[in-house]
Amino acid sequence: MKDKNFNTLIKKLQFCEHCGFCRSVCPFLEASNMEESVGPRGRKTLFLSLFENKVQPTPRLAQKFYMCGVCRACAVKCPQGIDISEVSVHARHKIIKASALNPFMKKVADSLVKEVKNGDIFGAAATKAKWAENINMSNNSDTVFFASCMDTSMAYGELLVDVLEKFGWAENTLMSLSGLAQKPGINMLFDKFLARKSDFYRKSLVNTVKLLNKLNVRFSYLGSEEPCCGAALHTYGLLDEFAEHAKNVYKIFKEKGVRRLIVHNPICGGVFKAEYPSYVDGWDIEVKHVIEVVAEAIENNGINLRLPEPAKVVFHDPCYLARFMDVVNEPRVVLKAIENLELIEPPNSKRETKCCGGGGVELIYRDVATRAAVNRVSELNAGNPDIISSCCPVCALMIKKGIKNLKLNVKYIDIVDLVTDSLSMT
Amino acid sequence: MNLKVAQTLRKIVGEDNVLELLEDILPYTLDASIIYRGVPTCVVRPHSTEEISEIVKFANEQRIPVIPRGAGTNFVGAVVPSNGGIVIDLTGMNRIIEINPANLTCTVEAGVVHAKLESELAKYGLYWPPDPGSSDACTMGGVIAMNAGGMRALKYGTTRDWVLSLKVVLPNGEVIKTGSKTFKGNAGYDLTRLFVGSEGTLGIITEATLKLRPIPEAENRISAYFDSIEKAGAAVSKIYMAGIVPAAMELMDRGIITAVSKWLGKKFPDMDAYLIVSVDGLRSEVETLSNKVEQVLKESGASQVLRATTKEEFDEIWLIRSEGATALPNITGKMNVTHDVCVPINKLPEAFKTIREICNKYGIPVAIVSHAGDGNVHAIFSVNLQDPEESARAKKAHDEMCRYIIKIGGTISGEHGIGIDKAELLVEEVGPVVMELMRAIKRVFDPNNIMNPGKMGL
Ligand SMILES: Cc1cc2nc3c(=O)[nH]c(=O)nc-3n(C[C@H](O)[C@H](O)[C@H](O)COP(=O)(O)OP(=O)(O)OC[C@H]3O[C@@H](n4cnc5c(N)ncnc54)[C@H](O)[C@@H]3O)c2cc1C
Ligand code: SF4
Ligand code: SF4
Repeated sequence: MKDKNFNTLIKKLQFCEHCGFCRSVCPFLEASNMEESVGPRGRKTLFLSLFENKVQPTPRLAQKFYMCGVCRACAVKCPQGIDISEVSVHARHKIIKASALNPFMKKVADSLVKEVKNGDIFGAAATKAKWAENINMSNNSDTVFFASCMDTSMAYGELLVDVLEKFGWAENTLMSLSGLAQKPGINMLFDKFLARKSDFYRKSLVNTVKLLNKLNVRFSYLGSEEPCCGAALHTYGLLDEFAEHAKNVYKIFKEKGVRRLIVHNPICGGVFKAEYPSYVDGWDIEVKHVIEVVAEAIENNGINLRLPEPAKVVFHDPCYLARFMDVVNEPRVVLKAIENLELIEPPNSKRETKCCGGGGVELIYRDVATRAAVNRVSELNAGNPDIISSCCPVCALMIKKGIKNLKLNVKYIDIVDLVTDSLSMT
Repeated sequence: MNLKVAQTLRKIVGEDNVLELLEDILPYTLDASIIYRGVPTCVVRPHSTEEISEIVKFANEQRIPVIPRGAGTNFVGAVVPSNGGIVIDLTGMNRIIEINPANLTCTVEAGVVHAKLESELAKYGLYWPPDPGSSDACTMGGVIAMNAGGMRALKYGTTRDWVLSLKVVLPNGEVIKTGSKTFKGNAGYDLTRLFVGSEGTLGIITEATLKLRPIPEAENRISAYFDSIEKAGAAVSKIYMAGIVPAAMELMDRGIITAVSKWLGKKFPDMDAYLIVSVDGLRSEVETLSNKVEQVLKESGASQVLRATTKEEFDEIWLIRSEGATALPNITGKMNVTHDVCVPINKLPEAFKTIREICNKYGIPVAIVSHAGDGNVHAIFSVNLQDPEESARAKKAHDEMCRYIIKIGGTISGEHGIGIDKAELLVEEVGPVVMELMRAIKRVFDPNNIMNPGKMGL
């Protein structure tokens, strides 16, 4: 499957006219002051050279491909529909195979493999299902709410990025940090320490459950048995490991009788919807974002939604929601249905949305990622909103970073939290 | 790279702005011509005129070639470092310095992207008329150095008509200003116009002051099909003869219509050519003009004449134009190789016919997109560039087409320039005396021939 994707890509690249249109939308090229070798068109040239053995895999070459957020903006812009995120992923694969990553990035690769297998990319598998301890779920349905390790453990991710940003040398000790998070006993301490940060991300999960209950959707939750979707393996270029992992995940889903997934995190949703079909033979699981479910309910039955206080809200489409899951109208249907809420559209929205600066770049090239976040938040803030809303934990992290950097007053609130706040729970 | 060169350049622009590893510079070995390649000695990314001046001065002393580079979207190999040298990447110099609505001018750094300028100007209800199809990517420095055109050239002219003043670093490092912020100027030779279209061979443009226009109040587009491309070509002249100067007249031939139809799975009339005429101006004037255009088109044998007045309708009738370049390679399985020639408008019907005959003779599929209103013809060859024999045949067809165009009083480049691609043909068009004059001009500016050597046959 992987090879089929690769061959289709090579064929497609023959049609590249070197027009540079992809340059105009790449957030990391913009954040690198338009330097060709870290932009989509440059990646294309380097990719072809790499596979023609005209350039050797080196850590410097790796930088070109890992400074891509795998956001697919280029694919939407390109007249030939060429998706440079695929170029990046396949180049990463080759570079990893050639053992040409620098020690830090190699360590990230090793720990991703381990942690994804354990069920949590931040190494916090033991506390992953903690958010749901006191929550009532129907738990006997072939529809499963997939909570995602990013949402449940994002506080660890945030801490990791913060530490690395402040102390570059921590790159050497980084993985032992997440290793610590896995040690029984210590993991509980970590969880306490991160409680406030965790609440921020886990709140949307609790609210998703509330919403689904309110809408009378029957669903189960796999709890600590929920696997990691493996998106990070795929984007990092660990394609063999991803292929194997995806098959295992499918097996687990089948064993548990899962027919339909509802996600809150569009990264998991996106990878299930856009990548699994080409890695798992017979993939037949329906994937929906919770906002699609809410939009459907609004369109079918109407729901009374009213924000307690009037607010101007701008919606940031996560790349994975808009371009991997193809969900662009539903968030608007939902937000427009909320009284007291004035929806404004930012520049670059829907399928043309601009990446928040995440996509994995935030872990490795922190300064470039932060600049991309600042660029995006400036756009989002252009219409003077009170609230920036979205629904992806990585977008949340980066948007908060952008807001902090720009010293703005605007708040970040997840779309699910906005809906729940607007619900009269009668 | 020689250590001294590297050290000096790093001192001027800073460590991070000198690229010399293969991983960094490979993306700078080519441009949208695709077929031409050359590895630079290094790439520098300056951020001010002063830095550029120091780089060029040093390069001149060391006799190292210097290749100014914008977005690399030109089709003729104009930024390919054929003999090594320092590529000066101007894309990092991308500030819009001033927009002056009262004086109808703006001043920009060379690396500002055309589309970015367009969207900033629109906030003031203004625009800069030249509109190259590469707007989303190309830089204003590249647009000026290539004298780019676009669809609106028939009414508004090309870049050369819209540049008032330039800041230029000469090959000896000296910084000059040409022209002034005025709409008129007769102070000696017009150096501004000389630098426009000079393809980086005379100096490096770092800033430009441009003449602006208010965005027209209204625009209508009228589309029509013809059963022969010659008839469509003749209709273009008839529109002018009826006293109308449209904003654009774009023509697509059967090759494009069929490809788009197959690509989108959409049925279009089985016709030989499709013409879109755009008229702009005051709302009232545009309505009258549209009526007249429709009448002339019908009298010229057009069928299915349609008028679009809203954005959605524009998009609908524009589909064949906008999807052409995407559809062709997907249908033919070969690369688009776009060639650009220009003929006197009355010669359009004949030119279309002959270009098709020449390509037919060499077995090279050709589709035609033409800014027909100014006689500009883009012949898009479908070529498998991996196949040397086919590429050689395509080159022969190209050269024969250019020679034919010269013969009928046209030019080998309407807007895409000369670069490496047409260097040899240039002398055939302008003749040895004019070519020598050009070389002499080049020597005055650049006696050591360090500025983008080998381009335009210089
Ligand atoms: C899809 C597509 C559509 C196009 N449509 C059109 C069109 O409609 N009309 C048209 O005319 N062209 C068109 N072009 C050609 C091309 O985009 C234009 O020539 C454009 O102006 C080049 O700009 P650039 O920034 O890419 O310049 P580059 O390709 O980087 O450089 C072009 C030349 O300018 C020189 N140069 C660049 N910057 C400077 C500077 N600051 N100082 C001095 N010299 C400099 C370079 O040395 C080189 O000789 C198209 C190209 C593509 C790929
Ligand atoms: S937009 Fe597409 S065709 Fe143009 S340079 Fe980028 S990848 Fe190539
Ligand atoms: S996927 Fe996104 S980050 Fe990567 S090259 Fe394309 S636009 Fe740039």
